[in-house]
Amino acid sequence: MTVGEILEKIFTTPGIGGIIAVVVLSSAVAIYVGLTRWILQGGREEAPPWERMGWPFE
Amino acid sequence: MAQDEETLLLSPLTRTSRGFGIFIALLVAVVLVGAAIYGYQWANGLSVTGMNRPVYMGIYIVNFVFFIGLAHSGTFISAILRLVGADWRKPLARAAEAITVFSVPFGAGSILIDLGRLDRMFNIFVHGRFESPLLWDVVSVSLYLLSSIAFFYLSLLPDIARCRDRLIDVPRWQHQMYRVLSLGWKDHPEQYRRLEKVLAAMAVFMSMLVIIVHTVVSWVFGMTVQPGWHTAILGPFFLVGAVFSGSGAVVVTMAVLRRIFHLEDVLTLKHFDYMRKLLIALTLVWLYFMVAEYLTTFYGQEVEEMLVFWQKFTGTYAIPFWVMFTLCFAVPLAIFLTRGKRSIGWMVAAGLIINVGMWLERYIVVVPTLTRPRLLSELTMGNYTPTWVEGVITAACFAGLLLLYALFTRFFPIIPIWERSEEVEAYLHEMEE
Repeated sequence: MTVGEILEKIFTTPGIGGIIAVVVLSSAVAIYVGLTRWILQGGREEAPPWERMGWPFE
Repeated sequence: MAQDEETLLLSPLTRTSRGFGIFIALLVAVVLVGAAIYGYQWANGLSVTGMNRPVYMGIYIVNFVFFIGLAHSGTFISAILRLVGADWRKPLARAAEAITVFSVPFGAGSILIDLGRLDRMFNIFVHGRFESPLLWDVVSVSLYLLSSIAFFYLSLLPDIARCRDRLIDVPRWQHQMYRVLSLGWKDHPEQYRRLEKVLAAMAVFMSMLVIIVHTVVSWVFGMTVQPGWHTAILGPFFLVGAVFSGSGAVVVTMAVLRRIFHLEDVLTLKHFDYMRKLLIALTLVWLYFMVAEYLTTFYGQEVEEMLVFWQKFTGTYAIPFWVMFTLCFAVPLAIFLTRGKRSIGWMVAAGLIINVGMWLERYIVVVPTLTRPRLLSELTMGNYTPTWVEGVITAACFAGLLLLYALFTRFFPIIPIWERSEEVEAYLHEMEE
């Protein structure tokens, strides 16, 4: 299957669009929750954010 | 910032006037009537609206484009002016962002109202094909709503904490609300540094998003081959119109808040003058797009395009078209160059006029094309007159927007306090060094 065919499938297969929408929106929610947590943790500890943030929903 | 000023900005949060109560009650009544009429539309189907074949989009879609456009003011004033370091935006930022956060749900909601069968809404996720611009719209508008809420909430966070710490005499539930919503904000300098960093990064993202969202909104029309819609200029034209109407709405909001909450020392004449200059530029840019769009169409003389063109210039839609042109260009520009220089009242009038004009502009974009679609025959020629059902539901949407906005100003400071605080500025300056 060529790249063009794969792209065509992504654009034309029913349901794939819905999956893309859900992935984009849930990723945005996760990023915003993570950023909020990172801001609120400011001044509480000195470890870098990627070590202490953890999964946003922990 | 002086303690007096902070007290002034927090004072509306501690009392409710009788007039405010009546205003809220009226808005609630309009919203409830709108909800009841929506129930009627749900029960009887879209046949109670003026929509028909081939005019399958009416004022609900006009409202959708208008509300999303209105929302762009917040992002423009807050994110884009933040990026270029325009400090005069600070007192206006939250009032503008609130327009964004409360407009987008009504924009998205207008599509749902237009669906007729709301229960089929999830079909777009289950059966959606990504080649459809409608799905791009769902993704971009939802992402815009989420991002606007995040941007708005984060910039509000230190002030919610301020309400929690300073407003002791408010009812218990109100204080509890501040406690929960402040998420344990400690006023630590490092929190402010991080907040500034995140808001700066988000400002870049939001600026891109605002361009993408309104371009995608225009593509719902532009990706079809219908006359009047199938043009590459539609995206930027929609975007400029959005920022134009949104900025007009910001002027009106600023003036109302200034009057009601006695913010004469915070929202000064200087701020209105900055907005006046910005609006002069936007009026001219809007005219540029208007001329570019219609002159190109006229020189093409394509048969289907010209049918729609003459519908607008001299035909059925000539009156709304020329009224729109007068309200969007001639009247506001005359005000900005004369009376608007010294009078807030005239600026408010111009802001309102621009918004009426821009709503009509959306109507002129959406409806005439559908009455004279491509592959025209006598059978496909259409007409559209909105019914009272659409009128009441539209009024309820506007009332809902005002209601949410008014309630927000009652419980949260509408002028950012922390961004004006000398103490916070000193923290940030110290950390930068």
